[in-house]
Amino acid sequence: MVHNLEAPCDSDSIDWSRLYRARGDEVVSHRPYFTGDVFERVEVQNPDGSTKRKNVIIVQHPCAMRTNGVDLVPKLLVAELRNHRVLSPEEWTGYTKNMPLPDLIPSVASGRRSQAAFFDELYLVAPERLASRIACLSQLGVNLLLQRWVSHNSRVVIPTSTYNKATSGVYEESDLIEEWCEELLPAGILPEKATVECMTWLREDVGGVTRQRMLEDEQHRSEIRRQMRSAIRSLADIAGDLG
Amino acid sequence: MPDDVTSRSSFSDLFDAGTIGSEIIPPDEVSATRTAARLLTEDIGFSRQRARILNQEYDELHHRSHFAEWRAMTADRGRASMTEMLSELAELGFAWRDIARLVGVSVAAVQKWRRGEKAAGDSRRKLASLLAACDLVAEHYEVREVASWFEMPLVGEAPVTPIDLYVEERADLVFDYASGHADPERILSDFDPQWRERYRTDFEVFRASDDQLSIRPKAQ
Repeated sequence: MVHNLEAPCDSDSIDWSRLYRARGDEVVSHRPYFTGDVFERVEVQNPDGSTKRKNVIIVQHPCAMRTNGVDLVPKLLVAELRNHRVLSPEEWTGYTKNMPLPDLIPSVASGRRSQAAFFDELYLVAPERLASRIACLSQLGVNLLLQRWVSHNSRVVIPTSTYNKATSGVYEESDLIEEWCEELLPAGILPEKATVECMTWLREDVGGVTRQRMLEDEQHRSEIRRQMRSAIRSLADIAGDLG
Repeated sequence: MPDDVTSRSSFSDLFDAGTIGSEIIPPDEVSATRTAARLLTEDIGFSRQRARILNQEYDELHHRSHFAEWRAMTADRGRASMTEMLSELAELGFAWRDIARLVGVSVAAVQKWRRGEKAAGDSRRKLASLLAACDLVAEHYEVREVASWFEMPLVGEAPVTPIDLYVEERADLVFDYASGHADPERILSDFDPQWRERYRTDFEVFRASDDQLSIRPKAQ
């Protein structure tokens, strides 16, 4: 059967916000870097060795971004962003070299408001150069980005519902790490430490399977979230007692 | 013209049968059975039609009673503070991003409420409605793990969950699904008549040799 590149919404109910988890000051700094994160003014290197600053988006697959689940690989693959007119949902089946990002910067009315990632303008950057994150994609946004990126590179279009099955576990992991960091920050536990703690907790074996593996199955996710919130309360209490 | 005579004779016999003074010819056994069967078919067809109308009326009544109860429970739930309601949803195991979708706001807005920032009255009512919907499916239909139930797809072939139904303002379908009165495929068809086509895929997710979930074409 024929699969087409998909759009985030239908033309009779336009809602570009569905693409994003956070934009501008909504972005939580301690959320782990993830596919589809957008950064501004990143120093990138041209083939001739000169450098310039660009807005970029991470296109590397979530599973290929880290060496040990916590530390990022030394170089991340990013695509350049440029201003772009807003495409109608019908037009999303075309423009195969781009990932449209309408209303990326909703606070401005100029041409910067809507942009697109250009898959033929790629750079490798060290994670420490990715300092100023201005947007994180929603899970739908990540699935649409992966669909377009893989299609651009392979001419194979895979439905976003299939990507969803493969990526929802790792996306959930990022959500949990963000929550762990956020909840423990008031207790004086810094995000770097909290991230490692959370990953250790997720990798614990509970009855022959890790919590990380259980997150891949939607049936178990609410149970893991409940366990995690309980664990966070215990850690916050301990930190409070020590402090 | 013997044939004409015969047919005319049979025709007049038919019309003469049963009139006063003529001999009543009882119908043969096959005709009697056929007549009885026809009456039975008509009878059952009528009853079936009545049952269908009754079923529709009770469906409608059930929806209305669900909504009336839901409104009452929402009013009850709305007495709690935003942080109390959020804590309760967190205790049920909901993801913050799902709570945001279900209430129709951004994840950032939910994060602000968690920190104690004020919410608009409409958001507060929507949060109370969500909790009331959870109460309703848990109490009436003994759904033990409400958050898990909300995020499980209705059928294996499509990723549509009760969360998706609720977000699209089809709480009627959420309650129908919880009640078990309607077949999940029928609920999906009501929600999205194109769902089979929309979610048909030539690909499958499998666990690759590096232990990660991966995608490959389905075996032909």
